[in-house]
Amino acid sequence: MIGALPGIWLGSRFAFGLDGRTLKQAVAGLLLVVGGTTLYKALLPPETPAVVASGAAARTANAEMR
Amino acid sequence: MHGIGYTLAGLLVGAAVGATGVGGGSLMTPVLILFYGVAPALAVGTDLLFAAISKSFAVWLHRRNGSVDWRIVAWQAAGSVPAVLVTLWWLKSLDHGVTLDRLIKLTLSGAIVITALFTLFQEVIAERLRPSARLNSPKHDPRWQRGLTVASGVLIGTVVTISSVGAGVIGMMLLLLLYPRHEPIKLVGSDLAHAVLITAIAGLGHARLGTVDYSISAGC
Repeated sequence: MIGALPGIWLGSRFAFGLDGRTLKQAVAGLLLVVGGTTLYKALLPPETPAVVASGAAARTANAEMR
Repeated sequence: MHGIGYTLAGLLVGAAVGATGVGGGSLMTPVLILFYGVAPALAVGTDLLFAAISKSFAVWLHRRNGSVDWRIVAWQAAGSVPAVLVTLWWLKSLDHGVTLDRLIKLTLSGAIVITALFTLFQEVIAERLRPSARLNSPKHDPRWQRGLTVASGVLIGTVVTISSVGAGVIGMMLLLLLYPRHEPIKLVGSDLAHAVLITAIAGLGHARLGTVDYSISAGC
């Protein structure tokens, strides 16, 4: 909320000098990227917790060093 | 550190909304999930409550200008409010883990892609609707129109409760399809009034489920 209110004000000021259609296309493009990334994350198998994953990597590295 | 991050996210999303009117929920929720690692249910609940508060200012202005068609809001609410309540009850019964996270991400991504496509083709769709509206006005069959308005309410209520996305652009496009002869400003006002109603109910429901983080909403 603290960021959004000045953001809306800035966006509405900034938009006056730009082509509305181009802005909408840019936001739509951004939405497609964000939507695609979210879909990709949703279709991934359940994540291995980062701590477990880093722990496993560290163990492998230690074993190799030995 | 996260507080500054949330404020920055709010600033960027706010700028997109201020410039284009698009992106409130459809950018904020995935940004919280993808970049800040917020649990999907928490991101959705928090965004819903944030949307209800921020959109209510716009509704107040529209109400003052008389640009809200309360009949449309009432017919949509007849479908959406029960849908929100049933979806909340269903979410409560789901396993709060991988299943819920995956359901939210899938619904969210679908709603975002539809929002993007509507944003891209909004003007083309609105333009194409004009001639058909003149030839075959839905106003001639109010039962058909009301039925579809209630059905659109059910769809929006369900999608918004699961993903927090859909009350803005998708709701507006459905109203444009259903009421092509209405003044666009009245459809915007009605869509916003309906959005405030359902985001408030869904947000309070999520708060009861414990999936609202007030510090994220404030940005601190």
